[in-house]
Amino acid sequence: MIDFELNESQKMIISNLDKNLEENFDLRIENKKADGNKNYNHGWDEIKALGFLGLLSSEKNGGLGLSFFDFTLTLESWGSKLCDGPYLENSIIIFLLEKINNDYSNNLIQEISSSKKIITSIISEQFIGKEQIPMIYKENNEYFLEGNVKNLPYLEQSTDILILALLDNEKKIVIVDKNKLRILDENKTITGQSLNDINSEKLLISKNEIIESKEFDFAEFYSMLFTLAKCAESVGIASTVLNMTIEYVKNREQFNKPLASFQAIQHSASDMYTKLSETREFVRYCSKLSIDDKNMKKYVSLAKIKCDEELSKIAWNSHQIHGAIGFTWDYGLHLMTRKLLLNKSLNGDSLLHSEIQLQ
Amino acid sequence: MFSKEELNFRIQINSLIDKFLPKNWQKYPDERLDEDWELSKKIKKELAKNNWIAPSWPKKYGGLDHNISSSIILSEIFAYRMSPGNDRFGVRMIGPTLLKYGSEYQKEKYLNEITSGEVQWCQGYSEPNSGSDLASVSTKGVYDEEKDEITINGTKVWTTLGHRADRMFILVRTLQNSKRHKGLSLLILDMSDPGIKVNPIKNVSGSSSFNEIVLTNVKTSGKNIVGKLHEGWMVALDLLNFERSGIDYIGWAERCLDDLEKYCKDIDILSRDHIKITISSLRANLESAKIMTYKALWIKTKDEKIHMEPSMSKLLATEINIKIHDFAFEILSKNATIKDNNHDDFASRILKNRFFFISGGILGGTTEIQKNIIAQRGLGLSK
Repeated sequence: MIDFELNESQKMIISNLDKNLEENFDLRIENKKADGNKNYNHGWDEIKALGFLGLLSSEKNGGLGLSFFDFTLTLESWGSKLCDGPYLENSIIIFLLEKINNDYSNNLIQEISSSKKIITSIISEQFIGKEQIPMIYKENNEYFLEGNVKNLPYLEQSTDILILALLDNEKKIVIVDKNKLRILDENKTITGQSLNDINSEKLLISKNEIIESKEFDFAEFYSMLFTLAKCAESVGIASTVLNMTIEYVKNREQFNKPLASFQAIQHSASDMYTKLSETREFVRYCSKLSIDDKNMKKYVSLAKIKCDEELSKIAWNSHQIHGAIGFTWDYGLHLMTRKLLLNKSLNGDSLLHSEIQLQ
Repeated sequence: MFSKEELNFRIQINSLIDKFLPKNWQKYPDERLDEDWELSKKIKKELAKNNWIAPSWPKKYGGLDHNISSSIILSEIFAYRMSPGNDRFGVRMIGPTLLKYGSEYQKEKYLNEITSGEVQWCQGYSEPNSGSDLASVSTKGVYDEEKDEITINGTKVWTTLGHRADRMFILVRTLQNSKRHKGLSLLILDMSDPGIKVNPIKNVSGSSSFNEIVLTNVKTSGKNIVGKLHEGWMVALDLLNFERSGIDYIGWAERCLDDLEKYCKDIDILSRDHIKITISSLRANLESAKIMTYKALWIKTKDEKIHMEPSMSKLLATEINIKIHDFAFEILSKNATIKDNNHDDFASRILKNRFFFISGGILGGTTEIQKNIIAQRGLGLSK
């Protein structure tokens, strides 16, 4: 049955999260970060303190046992306040570890949920061939990891790294303590987020560190869910863009009347609102699909195509409506635009997702 | 999104259409043609036998007490199959309006007529000098209190199916010298009244499904006022909200995109990157517009508030439908413009339909009017 209603518990989670994330949100700090002058991840401490890292872990593993859809609703709030940190990565890892459901995975879930272990990863990019994939080789019954992983986010906040590696041409997922790895270069994204290149040279790894998921392709599922999670985050970011735009046109006067009273502005704002509402509903619809649904992969690609087409366009339109003030660094609108463009550049381009959806 | 029962209903509706629609049916119904009109009547009759014309209406009015999903499925399938027999004016416009504002007499009489599948309705809103500015309606209705009767004089235009209709819902100015939205009433007329003259108007797609309706001393009883006398504006607007769902456009657009994808495969161009990207972008926009349309229809059943989703859904669905047809034309190119012996059915219908779909951005409130509504009522931007 068709139903678009959020239940009371979902409304409460969002409102609670919005309140917590709003408190320390400061565009000036975000501006400094984008300038490369501040290492700061807004929202990350709040998410941990609220216990949201355990949102997707089952009650058996000490979590809240909520659905992937509930999680994506929190990402709309997370995105709207420009939050940053490995919240998406750790939640999705937990979600997939729950599917594996053995002693090792359950123990790992509990450690992540309680923030004892924080994992970062870039396997989504590795899976689609946009980042390097190290090798695992076997020598005298021991396993070794060899190779580089580039552009890894959130290394500072993490204890471990989840890596996609190849063992005899077979994809394997490995969890490695970050201290065992050599850190090479540090890069910065257009939002000021740090990325690190790491290297492992003949790094001994235990069999335990290789995650076995016989029932499903861990990397493929991770990539799919991460893509969708990023879509939800982008919807949140774009909603802040729209809110800033509406507030601006209601208050800014030109020719002795508010900008909001000009039909050209009204139509542009109406288009932004319509496209954002449509994209939000579509991402929510896709997030409600079961991970085992045969159409899930196709719909995630369609959601990615839709978000990439619409959301940065909303930001560019907002700059136009804002006029010169939207052209200034200090006003901060560019922060949302940058984050939207960064998200757009991740998880594959329109050709890749077109091929997936046409399969 | 749909339950097993609802998916089963989809199969049943498809089977019913299979029984009547000729194989390889490749055109949109043109109910000016007797052949299409007869087919429409047969299908409606069969739907009525199962109480499927308006499945979400109460049983006492010929419905099945289903939720809105069944009605969505029904409309979407009829549009996708391009089948005649889907009653837009009765089931989707005046019906829900009567359920909300109608008297018991009106509900009993008119809703049961609609679900019998034997009565066709049309809409009397636009006038020669009153298009997007609906509040400037000048067709006069004079109420005679003694006879409890209204006499109507004026002209309505763009009246789809006016030539086939048994009844019309019409917006008239009943309070003389009143201005704008004050003093208007929504009435029901019998189209067999001798004072009604129907003049067909040929549209740019070559068919003439809409008409000019001239009303001279047309009478209707006071029992046929929907809501209150002189207070019909809000009722009329609410009716437009029932009209403003993009569900037909979604069905038509999906059919066109599916056929286009198949066509590209058949002529071996689907492997080209720009074709893949464009088809996928159209698919993403279609699927998201579809979800928004479902929401627009669902939200109308939730509360009495005015929501923006119907306007948004209409904008999105008409826009994607046109984009898909435009890309189909780009692919078909000369195949769509020059008729020769090899002219296939898909190529024949694309251009005719593209012309027809100009109407999508005009009827039920133009695209520009919808944007005004969204900005002013939805976002609170001042006039």
